[in-house]
Amino acid sequence: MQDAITINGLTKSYPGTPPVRALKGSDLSIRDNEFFTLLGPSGCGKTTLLRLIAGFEVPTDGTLKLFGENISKLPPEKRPVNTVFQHYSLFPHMNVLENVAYGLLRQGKPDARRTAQEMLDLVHLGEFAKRRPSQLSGGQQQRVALARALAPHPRVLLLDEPLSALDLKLRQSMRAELKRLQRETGITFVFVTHDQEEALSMSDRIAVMSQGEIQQVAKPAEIYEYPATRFVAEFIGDANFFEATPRASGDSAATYHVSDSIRFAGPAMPAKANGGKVTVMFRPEKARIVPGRADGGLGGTISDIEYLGNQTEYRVTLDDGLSVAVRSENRQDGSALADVGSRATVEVDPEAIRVLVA
Amino acid sequence: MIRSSDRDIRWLPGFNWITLCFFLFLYLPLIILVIFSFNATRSATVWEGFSLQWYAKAFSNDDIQSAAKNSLIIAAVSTLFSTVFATMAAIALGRNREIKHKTAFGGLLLLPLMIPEIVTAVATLTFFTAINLSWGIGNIIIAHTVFCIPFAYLPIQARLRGLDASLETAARDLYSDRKTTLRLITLPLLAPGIFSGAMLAFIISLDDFIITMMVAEAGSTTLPIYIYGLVRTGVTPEVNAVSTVLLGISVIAVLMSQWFAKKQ
Repeated sequence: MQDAITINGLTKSYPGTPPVRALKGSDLSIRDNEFFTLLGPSGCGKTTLLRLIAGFEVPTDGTLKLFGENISKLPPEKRPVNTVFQHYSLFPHMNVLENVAYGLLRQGKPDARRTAQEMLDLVHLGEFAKRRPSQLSGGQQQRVALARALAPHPRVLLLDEPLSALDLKLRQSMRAELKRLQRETGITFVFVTHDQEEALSMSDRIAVMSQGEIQQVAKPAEIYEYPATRFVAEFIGDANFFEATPRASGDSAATYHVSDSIRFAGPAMPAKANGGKVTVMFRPEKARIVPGRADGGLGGTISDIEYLGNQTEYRVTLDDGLSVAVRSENRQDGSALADVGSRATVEVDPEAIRVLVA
Repeated sequence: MIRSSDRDIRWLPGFNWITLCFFLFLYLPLIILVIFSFNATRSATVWEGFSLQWYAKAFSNDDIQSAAKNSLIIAAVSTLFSTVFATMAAIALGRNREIKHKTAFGGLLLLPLMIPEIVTAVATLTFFTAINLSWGIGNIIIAHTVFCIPFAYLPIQARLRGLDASLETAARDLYSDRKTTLRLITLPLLAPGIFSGAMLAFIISLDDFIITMMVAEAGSTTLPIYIYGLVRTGVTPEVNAVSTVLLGISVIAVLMSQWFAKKQ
C-alpha cells in the first residue's frame, strides 16, 4: 500500500546568525490510515514538520510527497490536508456551522451545510450549530475545530497539540474520542505532542524528535522497551544509565563492566559499538529489590523511598557510590520492602538490559 | 489592607483646584459658544432668549454653504484614500513576512504625527508649487490624504495586532487562497479598526487649518478657514452656530470611532 506521507531529506532553516536549523534533513514515511505521532520537547522540530506538511512553511531543502505526489511547492489551500490548531483558531465572526462549512464551501462542494451539520453531529455538537465559538467551552471549541478540519474529508489530518489547552479529565476523554474519529473516518492522523503518555496511549507509531532530528520511529511499546538512543530512553519514561565497557561472552551475550564491582550480563554488543564504551540502561520497574545481601546482584544501601501509589521507588546507593532507582509494585498493605538505611540487593535480568551506542 | 481612600488621589494638595481649572478653561468656552449660538440677539455676552435664527442664517449663507461643501468633499475623499492606504500599510507591515525593516517603515509612517504641522504645511506648499500642481481642492485632498494616513493607521494596526494570525493560516488550510482569506477573514475581522481609523481621519481632515490654509487656492475655502476669516472681523453668533455644527460632527465621529474600536 502507498504511504500517505513520504519525506526525503526535508530541511527547514530560518535566517539568522547562525541560521536556525529547525529540521535537519529528515526522512520519514507515514502510512495510510495510521495514527502517527510526532513526539518531542519544545523546539525539537515537530511543529515545524507539521507546518511543512500543511504548507504553512516552505522547505529549505528536500521533498515532501503526499500519496506519491510531490507537494513541496503547493500552497496550503491546494493540499488535501487539514489542520486542528493548538488554540483551535475558530473564526470568531462566524457561527459554529459556518465554521465547519467553511472548507467545504471554498471547495465548492454541494450540500456543504448538510455535510457540516453531519460533522457536528459526529462530534456530538449538533445542537450548537447556531452558536458563536466564544459561547462554547474549551472542550466544545476543540470538537468544532475537529469537525471543521474533518468536514472536507482531507487525506491527512494534522493535529498540533490539540489537547494541551484542555484540563486533565477532558484530555483523557478526548484521547478516546480522537481514536474513535480516526477509526471511523479512516483518515491518516498526524498528531504532534510533547506528552509521552498521550503519544504512547493513542498512536499506531511514534516518531521521537530532538533538535530537528528524528531519533526513532517505532510502535509505542518498542519506543519504550527498545529505545534507539539515550535521548529517547530519557524522554520517555525513567531509566538508570551507566557508562560501560563491553566484553563479549558468546555470540548472543556480553558482559558490561561499569566498575570493578558492577557488571551487567546483557545482550550481545551492538555492531556499531565497535568495542568502545557504550551506555547500559534498564528501566526502574524491570529490576528487583531484595532486602539484605544476596548473591549475584548489586549490593547497596537504600538511600530514599518514594511511595507512588501503585508502586514504590527505592533509590539504592551502590557500594562504589553509584545510585540506581528500582520500582516495585506495592504489596497489599502498601508497606515498603525495606527501610531507608538498610542493606539491599538490586537484581537485574539480562533480558532487561538495553545497550545504547548513541 | 489597602483602603479605598489610599488609592484616591484627592489627598494630593491642590488636586480639586487644578481639576476645577482644567474643566473650566477647557469646557466653559465651548459651553458658552454653544449657548450663544442659540441667542436671540447679536450679543455674544448677554443672553436674550432662545432662537435658531443664526443657524438659519448660516445655512442660507452661500459662502458658508460652499465652504461646508468643500470641507465635506475633502474630508470624505481623503478619508477614503487614507483609510485604504492605511489598511494596506497595516496588513503589509503586520502580515507580510518578506518585507524587511518593518520597524523603520512603521516609524516613518507615524513620523508625520511628530513633525510640526506648520513645517509640513510649508513643505507641501513648496512641493506643489515646484511641480506646478494646481487642481483646486484636489491639492487639499492630496495633502489631507497624506497626513491622515498615520491617524487612520493607528487603530487599524492596533486591531491587526490583536488579531490571531493563525485564523488566516486556518483559512488558507481550508482551501482559501490569499485573496479569499483577505476578503472573508482578515478584512471582516479588521473592520472595527478600519471604521475607527476612518472616523479619526475624517475629523482630522474636517478640522485641519494650518495645512489647508497654506495649500488652499482661491475658491477652495474650507469651513475652518472661512470661520477664521469671519472671526477676524469679530465673533458673531453665526460663527458660533457654524462652530457648534462642526463640534457636533467631530463629537459624533469620535464617539463612533471609540465605539468601533471597542467592538468585539
